Amino acid sequence: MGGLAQFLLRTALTLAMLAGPGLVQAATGITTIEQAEYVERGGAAPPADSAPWRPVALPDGWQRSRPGFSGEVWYRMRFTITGDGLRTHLFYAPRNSATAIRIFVNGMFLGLSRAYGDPRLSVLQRPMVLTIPPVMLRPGENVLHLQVQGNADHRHGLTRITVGPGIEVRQNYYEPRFDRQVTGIAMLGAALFLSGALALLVWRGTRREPVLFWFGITALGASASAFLLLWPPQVAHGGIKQLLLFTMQYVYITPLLVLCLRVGEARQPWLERILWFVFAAGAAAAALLSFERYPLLATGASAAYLALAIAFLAWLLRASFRRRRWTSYLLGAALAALIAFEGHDWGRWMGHVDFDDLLLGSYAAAVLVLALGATVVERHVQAERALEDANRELEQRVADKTRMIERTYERIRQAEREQAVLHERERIMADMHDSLGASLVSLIGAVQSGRTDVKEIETRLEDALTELRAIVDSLGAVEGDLGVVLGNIRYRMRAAIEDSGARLSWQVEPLPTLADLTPDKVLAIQRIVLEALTNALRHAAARVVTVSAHLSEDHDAIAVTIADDGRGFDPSMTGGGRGLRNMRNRAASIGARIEAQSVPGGGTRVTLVIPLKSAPLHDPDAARGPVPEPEPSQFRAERHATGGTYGIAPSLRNSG
Amino acid sequence: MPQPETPPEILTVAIVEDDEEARARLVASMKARPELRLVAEYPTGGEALAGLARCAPDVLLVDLGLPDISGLEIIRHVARHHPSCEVLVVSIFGDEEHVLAALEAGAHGYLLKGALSRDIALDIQELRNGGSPLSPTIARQVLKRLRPAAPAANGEGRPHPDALEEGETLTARETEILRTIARGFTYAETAELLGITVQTVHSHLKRIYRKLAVHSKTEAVFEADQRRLI
Repeated sequence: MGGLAQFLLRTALTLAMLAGPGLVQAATGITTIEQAEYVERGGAAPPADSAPWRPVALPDGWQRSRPGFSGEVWYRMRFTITGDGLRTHLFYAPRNSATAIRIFVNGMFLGLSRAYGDPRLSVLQRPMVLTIPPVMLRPGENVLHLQVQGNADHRHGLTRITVGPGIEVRQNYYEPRFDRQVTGIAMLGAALFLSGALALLVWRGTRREPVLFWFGITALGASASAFLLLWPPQVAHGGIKQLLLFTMQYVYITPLLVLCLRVGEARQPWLERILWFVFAAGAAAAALLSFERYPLLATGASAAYLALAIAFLAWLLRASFRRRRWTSYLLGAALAALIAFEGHDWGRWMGHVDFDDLLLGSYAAAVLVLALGATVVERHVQAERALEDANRELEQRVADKTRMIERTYERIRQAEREQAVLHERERIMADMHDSLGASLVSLIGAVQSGRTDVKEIETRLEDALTELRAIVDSLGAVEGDLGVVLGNIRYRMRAAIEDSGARLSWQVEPLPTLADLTPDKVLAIQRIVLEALTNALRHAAARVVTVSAHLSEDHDAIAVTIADDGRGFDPSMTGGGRGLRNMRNRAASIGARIEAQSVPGGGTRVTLVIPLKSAPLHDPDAARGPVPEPEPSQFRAERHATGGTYGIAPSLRNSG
Repeated sequence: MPQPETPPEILTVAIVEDDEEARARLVASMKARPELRLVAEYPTGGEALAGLARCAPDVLLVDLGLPDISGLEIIRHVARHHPSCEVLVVSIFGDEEHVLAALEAGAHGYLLKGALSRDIALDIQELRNGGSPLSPTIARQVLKRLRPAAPAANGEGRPHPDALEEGETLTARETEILRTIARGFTYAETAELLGITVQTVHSHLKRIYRKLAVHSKTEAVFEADQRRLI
């Protein structure tokens, strides 16, 4: 903000300096002449003192003092040289203001200025300076005669005249004036050129901001217009300069107005078309109809342009202040300067403002264009920032959505898990109902009917408890380890095994992990093995019962075999059939199968074949031990001699 | 190691069990065995904590589901104050969750409610011999909790980062024993398979139990440390 305040202060000081009249400085020996005498007449030499001289105050703008006058006016003025010794003096006028000015010092011809309105030269914007050699001067009072030639088309007249020692006048009057009238405008023109070129380069690079294009065009137009004003006086020219000079003043105005529209974010194609039309018409009029010839038309067009520009800028300012950026104040200041400066120039043109004043329009235009440039840049920055914000917000929203989707998926997974648990629970409930429930009900029946064989009831209650523990075991985490499932069965049946009097040969080898060993599968395997084992222990009167488990030779299934050397049965009799059928149904329900063989007197052999559906996961526990898993030969499954075969029919495999 | 060949010494047994019938059955089965002598029975945990110092049994049977305090607390108390007393948890199902909690609290084994009376005596004897009956499921869980020692010989292994100290990892032999038990083999069969004596199996198991208790304590300490409680 400090920077802004400083900037505004400096701007104000500069403007004050530009707008103020030329300093009337009473340095030693310098005289600024504000009182003169005149006589309207022609002639090659100054009129005699006897002519009808009348007093007049300088500056004398003819627009006011003699409107419509065309011809020559002689001015006479005096200045005094004090002190001893005559030095070179300088004649200085802040501006050329006549078609021709002829200067006489003490009756001797000093020089001639031909400039104003001369189509071959333009020193319009230059202060006038002539050296007076000491020989032309005399101590005490000296007399200046100036012949001023002009016409009604131009704002002719005579400025204040300053005379004094060469160096002082040059340093204190001529050079400051030259800086403000020429150098300053040239510098602004250069600044406009550079910023316009830069804007066009940026626009060409990105093609994203048409406003940059419009700013570039406007700035280059304003720059060209400023430089044309300073057309070097030594360069001769023809009609082309005239055309350029008057056209270029309008060249940047239409782009400026379009720029205002764009900066104000008003896209009005019809309005822009009208502007271009007015521009073309105005430029053509300015070029073809020299405004010296048609002053009313030219000034009218200028006034219309100015009013239009001010209206647009006011509108833009209003739009801009809604956003309350620092560039809004800059734009406001520039607009105020434009109005003040153009008003000043207009006033000078009409003769209401000091005739000697600088024309300030170029400064105003430059400041305005640069303020618009700042606005464009600021908006560009804002837009980039907004884009970044939008991107960030978008990313945020994407992240939010992602989280939401993840949560939704998590909920779905949760629901699926719950569904699976529910499903399992239902199966286990059904199983408990069928097995445990049925056992207990029949036990109650047995007790109620009075057929109370305590030993049998105890056995059956133990069975029920074993059943219940099997269910509990099936819910435990076995993690695909069939060995643990089989081990648990043995563990649960320790008492029954011991009671049976048979010897158990346990040959469970390290097994690959079963990927999908779910609780209901565990339960089904437990049921099958339990049933087969119980049959062997209770009914077969076997001496040795062998339980073995190993990977099939094709490595695609695990075979669990319960074999005994007991009495066996005839598979054609239906007696042993029901248990087998149950086993087969259970096996089929988990995608496994039963192979059963029995020979009367030759033992029974039931094999549960569980396929490894997915590729067997390598069991890390079995492989990593420092000592290889011991597999002594006596624990390998022995192949029994076989009798009748009860391989399950393929059609039954998937039933149930 | 007590030698099994010597005439069975008389073991003193105390029971903590709130269910009267179950307690009566335990008492009855105790009385059926000449080598076991019942010295105390407590219906609540509070009474047990108060009375244990006086009777100092060789073996304590604890039900986990007591009306006043958790059976685990009694196990911890006994493990700390009566290290010579060996604790057997009485459970209906012998399910892994309860059994593991009891083992980690310092119990030496568990037996199943409803088992025939002979089993209890058998289990107590086994417990006294240095091991205790370990179901395959429990063996597997122990294997999971106490990670196997890194195989040093084959070079590919490196110590597991969680294995903070020697006492918490299983030795190769311990791992083997647990794996064999997990497949359903009895201690005797395990011993035969591995070419060691049953006594060695028992002493390994005893060490495993100790590691399990230490492990659980270390875990508690680790967790407390994580929460900056100590």
